[in-house]
Amino acid sequence: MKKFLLILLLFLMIKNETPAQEIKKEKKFFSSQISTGIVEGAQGTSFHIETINGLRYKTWFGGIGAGLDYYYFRSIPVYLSAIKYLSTRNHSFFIQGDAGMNFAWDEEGGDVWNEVSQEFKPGIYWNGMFGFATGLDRKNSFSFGLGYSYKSLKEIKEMAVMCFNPPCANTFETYQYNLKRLTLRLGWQFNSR
Amino acid sequence: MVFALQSCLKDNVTRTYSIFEPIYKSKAEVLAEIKSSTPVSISSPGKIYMYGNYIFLNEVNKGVHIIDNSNPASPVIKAFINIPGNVDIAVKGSTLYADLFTDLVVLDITNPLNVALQKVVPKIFPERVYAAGFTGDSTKVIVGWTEKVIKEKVDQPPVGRGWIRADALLSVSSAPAGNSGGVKSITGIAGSMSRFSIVNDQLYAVNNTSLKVLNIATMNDPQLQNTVWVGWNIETIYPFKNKLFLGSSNGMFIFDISNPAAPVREGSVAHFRACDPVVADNDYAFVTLRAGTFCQGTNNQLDVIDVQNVMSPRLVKTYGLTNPHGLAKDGNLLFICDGSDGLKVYNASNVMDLQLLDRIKNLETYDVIAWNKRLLLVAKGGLYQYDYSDPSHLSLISKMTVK
Repeated sequence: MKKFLLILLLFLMIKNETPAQEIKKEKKFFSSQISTGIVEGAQGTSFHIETINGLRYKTWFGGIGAGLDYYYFRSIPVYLSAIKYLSTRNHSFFIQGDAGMNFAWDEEGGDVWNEVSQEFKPGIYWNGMFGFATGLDRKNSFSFGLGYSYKSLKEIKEMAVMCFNPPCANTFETYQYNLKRLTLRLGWQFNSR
Repeated sequence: MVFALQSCLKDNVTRTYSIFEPIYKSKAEVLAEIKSSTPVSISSPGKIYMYGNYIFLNEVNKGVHIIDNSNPASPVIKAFINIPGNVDIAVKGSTLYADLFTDLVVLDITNPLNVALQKVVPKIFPERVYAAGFTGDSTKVIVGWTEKVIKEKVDQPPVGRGWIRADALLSVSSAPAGNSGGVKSITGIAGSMSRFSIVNDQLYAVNNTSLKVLNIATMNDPQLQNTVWVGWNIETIYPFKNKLFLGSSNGMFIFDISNPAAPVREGSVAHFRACDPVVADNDYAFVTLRAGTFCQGTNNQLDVIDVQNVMSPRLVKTYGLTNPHGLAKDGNLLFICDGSDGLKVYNASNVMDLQLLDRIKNLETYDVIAWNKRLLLVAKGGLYQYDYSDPSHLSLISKMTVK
């Protein structure tokens, strides 16, 4: 048993030598990721797609992302993204964190008969994810991840109010949407190394 | 664990809006305060009336500013008359008529700085209620409103709160109504967006559905003579010779007042749902249609209607505009307040081809009076006076700002 453990330890040390050598040779390189998936929340399931582009150095990646998110309202999150890979190998778990702004892609109003106008104000977007990336080769890899995300928006509606002496001043309603979801993503990543 | 997960996935949607709860006073208190008081700043300009060297400017739902305009380059607010609920005014001789919610008040303005209440004619406008479900205490007078902000959770995707509330208003109308030029008479000059109109010894007043006729031969003792059903959503009245042009959200009506006490409907022109003030001359009526707000229409335009045959008026031309409000006409000059697009001055000698002569930009304009080369313009920023001796180049005489 002791011999087995010693052999296993030696084996792991040799294997880890390879990543160390790779680290010495590793330089920064451009990395681009496009992913799609679903978000699941109290309002049901919706589709999303996103792209993140930035620089990878060793086990770290930093970049800028943008996406299209159909949950509740169609919106465009734009954010900074940071990913920590647990290994520099082609196959690695990762932890991802995104934070930025969420912009509405204006939708037509008209659900309410007396709605005069609507206007969206940008909100906040953030996402936390744990996933796994598996490489096809040095340049291309697939990834999938499971996470939790949040997006917010503010909507200001102007509503007509009947009064004695029209034309009359309208009333305004402000809606604040704070939306929480589980996310599931599948992505393809391209590295320029 | 399940509850924790549900909590993490629960969306939080809130809705925030204002309601306005009434501030009451007794009728006796209110009537005792109807007099010339210390001048106050203009904040919500409404209907405007020109009479001699004075301008009477309605402060929507609050009262009337008395402005000494003997020097148009430097008008001075001399006094303010507290009249809660006031939205319309008219002047004949030394008498000012104003609405106080459902009542008509009669004021002696011989000395505008010492106005005296002459008479209160109750329930002339019984249809005047705050809509949207709100019902006030009829034993008292609403003199103001307290704004209260409501924030509430919304469980489902909001489809609108609706506007029915019995205890408060959802908005307090402070949008200027406005006036635009008309026929000068001893009664002074009112405008295209007015609900009052004085023709000789009659005061005509419209509410949502009907036309009231009051005899004011004895100026300080008006007597209700007649109530004529007109239709729905009646908004404005404009007199021209022996006709009254009534604007509504669905069209324009023409009434003959050859018998002053008994107006007779002669013709009408329907249009798409919009708010519409109107002015007229011998041959044509000019009607602006405005979309948005409670008017709910989608049209912003000027309609020119041939009224030479009042029994059968017909639309002859439509001009697209931005968001028109009040308008005025002096001879061949047509002045249109086109909302945020400013004031537009047209040569209307050929109604089929209006020519834009001048435009005052960067003003959100509501209504206008044009008389004797002088223009009184009510805009979001205040009350402006222009000289239109050269209609291609209006020159600013004075400006009274809104606080």
